[in-house]
Amino acid sequence: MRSKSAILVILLSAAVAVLSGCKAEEQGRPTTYEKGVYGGKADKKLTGEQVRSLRHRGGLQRQ
Amino acid sequence: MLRKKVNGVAKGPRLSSALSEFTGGAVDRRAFLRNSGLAIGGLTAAATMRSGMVRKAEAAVPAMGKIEIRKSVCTHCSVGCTVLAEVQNGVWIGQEPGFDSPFNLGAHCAKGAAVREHAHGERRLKYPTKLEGGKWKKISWGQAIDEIGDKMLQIRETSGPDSVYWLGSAKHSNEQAYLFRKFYAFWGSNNGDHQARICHSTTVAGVANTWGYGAMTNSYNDIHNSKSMILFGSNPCEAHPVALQHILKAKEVNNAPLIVCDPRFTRTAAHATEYVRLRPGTDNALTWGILWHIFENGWEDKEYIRQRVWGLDHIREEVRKWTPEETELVTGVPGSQVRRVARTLVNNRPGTLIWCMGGTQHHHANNQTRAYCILQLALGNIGRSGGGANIFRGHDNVQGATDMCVLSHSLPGYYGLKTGSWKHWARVWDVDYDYILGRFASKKLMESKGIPVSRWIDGVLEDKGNIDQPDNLRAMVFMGHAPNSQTRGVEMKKAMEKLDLLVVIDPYPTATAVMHDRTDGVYLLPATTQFETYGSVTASNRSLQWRDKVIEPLFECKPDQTIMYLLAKKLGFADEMFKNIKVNGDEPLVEDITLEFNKGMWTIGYTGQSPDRLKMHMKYQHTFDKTTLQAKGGPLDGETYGLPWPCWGTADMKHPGTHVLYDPTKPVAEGGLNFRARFGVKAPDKWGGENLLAEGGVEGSSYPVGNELKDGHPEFTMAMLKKLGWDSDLTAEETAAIEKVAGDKTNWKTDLSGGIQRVAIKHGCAPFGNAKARTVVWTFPDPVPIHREPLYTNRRDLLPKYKTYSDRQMYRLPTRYASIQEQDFSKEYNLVLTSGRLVEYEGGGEEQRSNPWLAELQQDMFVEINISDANNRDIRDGSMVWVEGPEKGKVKVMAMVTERVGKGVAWMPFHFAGRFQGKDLRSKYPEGADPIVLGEASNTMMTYGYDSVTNMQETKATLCKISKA
Amino acid sequence: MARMKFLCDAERCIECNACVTACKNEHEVPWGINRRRVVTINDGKPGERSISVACMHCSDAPCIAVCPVDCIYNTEEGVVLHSKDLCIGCGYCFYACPFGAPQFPAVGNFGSRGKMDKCTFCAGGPDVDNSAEEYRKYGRNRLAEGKLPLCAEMCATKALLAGDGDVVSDIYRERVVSRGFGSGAWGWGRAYPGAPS
Ligand code: SF4
Ligand code: SF4
Ligand code: SF4
Repeated sequence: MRSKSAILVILLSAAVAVLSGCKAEEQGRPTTYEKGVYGGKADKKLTGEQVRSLRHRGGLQRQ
Repeated sequence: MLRKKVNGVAKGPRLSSALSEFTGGAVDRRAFLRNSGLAIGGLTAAATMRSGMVRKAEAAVPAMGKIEIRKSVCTHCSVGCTVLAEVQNGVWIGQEPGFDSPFNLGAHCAKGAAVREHAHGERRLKYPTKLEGGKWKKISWGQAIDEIGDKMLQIRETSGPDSVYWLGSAKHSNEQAYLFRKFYAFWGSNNGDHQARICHSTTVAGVANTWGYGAMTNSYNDIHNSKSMILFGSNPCEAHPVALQHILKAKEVNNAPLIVCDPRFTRTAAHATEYVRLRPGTDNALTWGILWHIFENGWEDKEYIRQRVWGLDHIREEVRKWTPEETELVTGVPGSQVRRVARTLVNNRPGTLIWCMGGTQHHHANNQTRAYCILQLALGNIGRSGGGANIFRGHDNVQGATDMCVLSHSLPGYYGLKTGSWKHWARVWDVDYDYILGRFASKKLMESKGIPVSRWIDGVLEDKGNIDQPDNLRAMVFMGHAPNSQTRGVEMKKAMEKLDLLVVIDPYPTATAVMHDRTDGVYLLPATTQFETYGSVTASNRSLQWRDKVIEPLFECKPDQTIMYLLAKKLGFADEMFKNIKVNGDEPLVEDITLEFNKGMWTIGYTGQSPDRLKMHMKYQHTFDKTTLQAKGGPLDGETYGLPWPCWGTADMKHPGTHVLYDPTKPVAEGGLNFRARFGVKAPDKWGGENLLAEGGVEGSSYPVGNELKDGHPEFTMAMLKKLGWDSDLTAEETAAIEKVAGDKTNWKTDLSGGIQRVAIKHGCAPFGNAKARTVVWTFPDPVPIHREPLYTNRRDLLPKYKTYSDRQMYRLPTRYASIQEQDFSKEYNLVLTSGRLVEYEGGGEEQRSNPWLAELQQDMFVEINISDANNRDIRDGSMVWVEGPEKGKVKVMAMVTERVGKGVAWMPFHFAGRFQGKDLRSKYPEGADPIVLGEASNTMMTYGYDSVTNMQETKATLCKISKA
Repeated sequence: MARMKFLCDAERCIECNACVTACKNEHEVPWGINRRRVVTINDGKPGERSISVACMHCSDAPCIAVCPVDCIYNTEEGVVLHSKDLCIGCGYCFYACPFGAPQFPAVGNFGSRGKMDKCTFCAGGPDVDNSAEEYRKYGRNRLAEGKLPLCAEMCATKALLAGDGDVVSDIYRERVVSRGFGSGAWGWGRAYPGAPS
């Protein structure tokens, strides 16, 4: 009995160890999937300064 | 299964429905062409891309070093768009829009937006090569220069200097062009030329002989002021795309009508308010047809004509014949349309008139260019902002190279070839006139026009006894010239094979490397592009811009000025030629070259544009107004962008440059002018003997504001200054310099001190006098411009009345006219053929067909044929056909069935090469230097025909037959 | 701020293809992939007009709706981007897109084999802004550099406008007023339903 549960513990911990390799960070992609939701890396919002510059350059197209 | 792309142009199943929202069916030329698919390009391009990618990807890491911006100018057309290059660690990693440039305001066309590919240079010549036993063999620069030089010296010994031909380039910078012109002077021959001969030579001759200078009178920007625009044989949407930014501004803001006269419904015609389809080669007739209405109704600007135009009565006599019926008979344009065009031009003044190759490439084109000028003079449109003869030049520096006179008939600055001209330049060069004289075979050859580039093949093939020089041409040097831009390809191949020596100096091998079957005696020397060197370049509007060096020369390439120095050294005249030009190692100092031509180019005012001033203009681009091109405030306040010539006097005089030529509403010191007194003060008796000087005494009209003489006057000489008592305004140094040249006979063109110009301008006068424009050029074969049918015409019914010239000897060669036109080829060759441009390519196209970003967009050579002509020949869209000319040259190309060309007319683009009469020449290129896209050169089958003044080739009207291949 | 938009003024576009080669140049887009192209209707006939077409970065993007792995997303600025890490190259988006924007490379030059590529509005992708990684997969990120799409900034005739929707439609409206007509802002009805054009 003892040895059995010991084996079980060993097996379980091995499984945990194996499965933990499936974490999203290590695979470089999401491992869970939710329909209709983008699950990739998050993009950054532009800063106020970047936006101002874009508006200025937009005006340059006026000719 | 899911990869639904058709050669990369996946349109998506629903794009066509999205398009239909916009309007009807969707047939697109490029999609049509791309459907033929091209595997070769695809594979090779993939390999090309990989290295480029990595380079830029690595460079994108910030740690790799600071990104610097270098300013250059696009090398693909005369608009002169500023290129902003991002350079990191010596690698050209990106391009940014040059918003500060008043010419392009950030914009580019396909070519300009792809110039960075030059820095990949995967398909360029990488080291000197020679053809030996039919194989390309890598050699060193030393060996190449030695072998070429030895061969040339041997030819010089046995046949004289005139047996070597020096073919320069409109893609040279001003400094390189000037140096090249000087080079063949020191070699001792006038056998040198460049592309201007075959693009706008008839313009320069016609226009300069009408009012003084042969260049574009206004600028692209000044079109903002136009109330109407009429284009003849010009398709700027493809040839000068960024010009459209200015044209559309006039169209949209001023509501200016845009009239496009062209045998082909071009992309520009698609944006026109009025499209006039004329028969190829009838521009002169159409112009007179328009003028007929103007004269008939008294719509001409009579006061303007009285003050500023001579000889119009002789023109009236000719124009009287061009009734609406006659005009329609010859041009095919309905009478009502001609009348509408005339009214539009009259009611919307000032209007600009623009022309390009459609007008200039005819055997009587010197007539057509003058007819355009006369139309504008009658309307009073010249010398006015918003008006002008806005002649769009082609290559990026064809204006500059023309001004440097890389031509067979003149010294730099259009000084001609007379003894006095040579003496002037000998003074500038600081060498003895006798030394130069000694370099030539004879004084006679020194002062006689050389063979023009359009005719070099005749210089090789013509019977020696018929040529006005000691021997045939035996060596050809192509320094930046594509042979496929010239007609009679089949004979050209023969000529190439007959030569002793064939040298190509170019970033690309060009078709010159492959179109012949030579096995020896061909050398390919890798030159850099303009992005690997620096110097000035003249845009179409006469503005000079200074290019920075973007990257160091790639591979073993050398800049042209260095190659010229190496050759001059080998040929034994480097010490004299570079006497006042500093040479660092083997590279002549570019600024010294600019300063040298500044010292001599008084005629057209290339004297004020010192390197320092030009560099300042590039730096302060943003201070210039986008319409007037004038700096508002800042260190260059009041100057015109790029100091458009004439920029009178020395750089110290700080003349602002001349934005609009012949505009009397400003003082000369501020860029004002009047027409040039170039043809004497009185017309020949045969033509009435009238006064040629401006008259009327109206300030700001018959003479420029502030002109103290208050009327017309001849050009300035020292004697004239003395007579006016203005010689006292000269400094002692100026007087001494003038004395040294020719005393009282020294004039505004030969005075090396610039004193005469300075004093004339001080008194408000144009140094070149103040005359009327002349509408009758009594020195030309047709003093009054008249229509003449093309050499190869199918309108035999018009022949007795509008026949060509008699055969004659010109430019050292027998030149045929009547003997060709008398033969009727039109039964068998029953389509009229004309040619033109594609936006992605330029000239011979080698550079762009080697650039994957451009090549991908135009993969097949084609011929446009009208639907009914195609059906009559059972030719299907996209099928292969033979196009054959009456001289039996033929090309195998893809048929594009379209309404773009009218019934009975076919059209081909001329930028392709690498296939010859059905044969693929890819294997003949040096390894790795074959362009991605090859195709038949239209000029392989284009025919004989040369302008009666300049020997421009006739490529815009010939005959052909088209049959299924 | 308002969202980013493209507008191509068909009265001005001359089919010069600057926008196409500018894009190739900026992102080293390989042969065979065209993030942008110019389409001409009535070619060679009266009424000939050209329009430069790329991803319009639709407000209610159909590609996002159909992607089975949800790799496409809308940025705060209204730009439609996707993750090449997630894309499986199935091609559904290509079928859904009214502008034919999604492209599928044959060779693994641009990202790995078969991943979708399309116009990014010069905004890179979800990787770190202006990193070598982002550049390799998506091309340059001009928006992060404070610059607008190069295709529009280099347009020969300023037919192609890009930027903040308000700025762009202002410029276009001024033009239409001055010339008295316009053929409408092509594609806006589909890409940005409800927006005035
Ligand atoms: S080819 Fe002409 S229009 Fe095009 S980018 Fe170059 S200079 Fe500008
Ligand atoms: S926005 Fe950028 S990625 Fe999109 S087509 Fe224009 S240049 Fe290409
Ligand atoms: S660059 Fe501008 S004008 Fe040229 S094809 Fe593109 S959108 Fe049209």
